[in-house]
Amino acid sequence: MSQNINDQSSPTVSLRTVGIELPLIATEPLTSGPVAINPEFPGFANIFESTGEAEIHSPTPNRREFIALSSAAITLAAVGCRRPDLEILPYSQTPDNIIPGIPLYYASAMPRPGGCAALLIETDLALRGQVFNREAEGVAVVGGDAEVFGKGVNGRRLIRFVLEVVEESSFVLQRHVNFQCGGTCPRVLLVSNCNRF
Amino acid sequence: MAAIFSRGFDRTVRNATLGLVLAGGLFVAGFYYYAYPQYTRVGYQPVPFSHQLHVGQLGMDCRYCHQHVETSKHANVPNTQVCMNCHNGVDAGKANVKGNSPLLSLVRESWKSKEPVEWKRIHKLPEYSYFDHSIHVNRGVGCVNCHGQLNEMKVVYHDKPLTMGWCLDCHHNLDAALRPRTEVTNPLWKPEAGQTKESVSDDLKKLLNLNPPAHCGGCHR
Repeated sequence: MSQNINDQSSPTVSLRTVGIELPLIATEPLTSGPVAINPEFPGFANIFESTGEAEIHSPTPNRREFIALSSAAITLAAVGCRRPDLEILPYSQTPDNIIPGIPLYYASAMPRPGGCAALLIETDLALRGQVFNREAEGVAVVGGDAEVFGKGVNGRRLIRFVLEVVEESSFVLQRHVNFQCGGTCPRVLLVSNCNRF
Repeated sequence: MAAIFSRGFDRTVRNATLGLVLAGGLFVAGFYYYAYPQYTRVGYQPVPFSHQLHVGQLGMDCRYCHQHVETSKHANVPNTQVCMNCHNGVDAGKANVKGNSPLLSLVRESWKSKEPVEWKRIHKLPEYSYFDHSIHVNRGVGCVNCHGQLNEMKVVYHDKPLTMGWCLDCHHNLDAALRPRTEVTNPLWKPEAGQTKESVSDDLKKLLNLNPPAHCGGCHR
């Protein structure tokens, strides 16, 4: 519905939300549409009158907001950043046979045709509670976990091979697995069979 | 929509840039002087342990608390049990040297709860550098060479820079860095009459056939 706004006797718009009545002031007649000055759309009159109602809040910040946010961010970065504390958490009660940085067990691999067999090596620190060299030497060769390796032809071959190595001598063990044997009964813990790589 | 920046904003940006450059220069200068670990990593341990008292006055050996320093790359911080060897105010019949002191409350709590005391790390090398305490100690490098006169420190601080250049100075030239193996943990060691630190170090270098690595892979493995 259009209206002639130059008509002095034009109707006023009742702003029910603010409880006042304002005369319609415009230089050009507004046509039909949702923005037309109409009692059915009372809020749009306030855009021209700056009453504060129905102001359009743009998602783009204005200059003051931009400066305020930037200042706050820089201040937080300057004040909030500090060197992180690094904590050392020693034991409460001293455990036996622990030397920090020297493993009780470590992973190794035994070359096999077309792949390798993963080994879990028990070091002399775990086995005898002392280290003969600066780094713990792997000495442990256990008969194997049949539950893990007993399945399939490859598993049975692997178990047989390791047991043969163990039964032969430490020299063979050293040559194949590339770690030294400490002289006592060696053990190897078999943990898994590597896929072909 | 109103313009975000006013016309005078260019001038403001220029002034702000100049101010930031000056402020940044001052910050870098201050950081260079005051923000070394020597100034920052000090004095906030949960338990006020004094090396001056334990080492300087009581004469305790470093290895009583840092017992793995000769066998491990880590010079371990002592477990609560080590403290309780002397300061046991919990268990009856144990050595109780000021074991009920409020300063040791965290140690007692740790002993009861089996939870560790959360010590703060003072000496910290970057993760990309490899360092092994046992190698150095077993070759005759004294504790004070890297950690300073701990026997005089009430609170441990970063006395030496522990930078790469500082490490290489010693690796290039072992002039006065070595001491007899038995004196490694003695903070008051001095050469005997007729000897100098240089002569002792030179003798040990020849005796042990030392050739410390100065290539990249020596420390950056």
